[in-house]
Amino acid sequence: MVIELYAFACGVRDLPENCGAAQLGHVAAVFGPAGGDTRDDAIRHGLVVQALVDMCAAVLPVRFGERFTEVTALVDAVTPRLHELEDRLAAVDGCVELAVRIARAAPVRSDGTAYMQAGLQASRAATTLHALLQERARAAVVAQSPLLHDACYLVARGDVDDFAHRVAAYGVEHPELDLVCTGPWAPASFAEAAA
Amino acid sequence: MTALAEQVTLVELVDRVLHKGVVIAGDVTLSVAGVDLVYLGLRVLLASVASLEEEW
Repeated sequence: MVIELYAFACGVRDLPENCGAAQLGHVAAVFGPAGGDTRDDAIRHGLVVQALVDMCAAVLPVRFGERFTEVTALVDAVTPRLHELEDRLAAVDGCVELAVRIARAAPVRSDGTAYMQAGLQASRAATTLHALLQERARAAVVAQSPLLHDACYLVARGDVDDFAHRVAAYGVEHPELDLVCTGPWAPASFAEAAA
Repeated sequence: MTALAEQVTLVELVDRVLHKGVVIAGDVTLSVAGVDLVYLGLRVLLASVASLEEEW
């Protein structure tokens, strides 16, 4: 039976339905029966990973589509990277990921100079918020994006509410920004070591 | 969660499983129909959340 790898985890208390785990040292490789390549299959993969967030102390999501013919093939593929995976799991232990995206709010009708100045002000406000959020996160990854700001933050589970409230409050203080915070997600942005 | 918010969440969920996470074998399937819309999805996300806030 072909299996699909969902995530690596530590401190596993439970597993989602139809999932199994191959224990490699301290790392559990969580897998299940492979599905297809449709959007629904990708959603199913994501929901399993999200379920693991509440079932494990630390979760490293695996990208959709990692399939193996049998468990031994999975073990053979993963074993050379075991120490690296242990390090990454330690880095995300007790944390989840929050995504923050900022776009410029729809500008009011104005002349060119005012428009440019408003854009500059919005850009500065986004930069300031990022600095504030970095202080409250264990790590951050900023994405290349056409948005003013697109970043993911690794946040301790106990700090999630405070983090989200600060983002919301900043949005109220800065109506020039359209601001969205989503999560808590499994820390996929921190699954691979920075290049 | 409203149907719209659920759709927005699924867009981000799919974006994450396709573009982020550990890669082991490297032959990851990226041919899922209709999900190569990362930034389109994000714009939808932003616009949708703004709309939801107005509804509240």
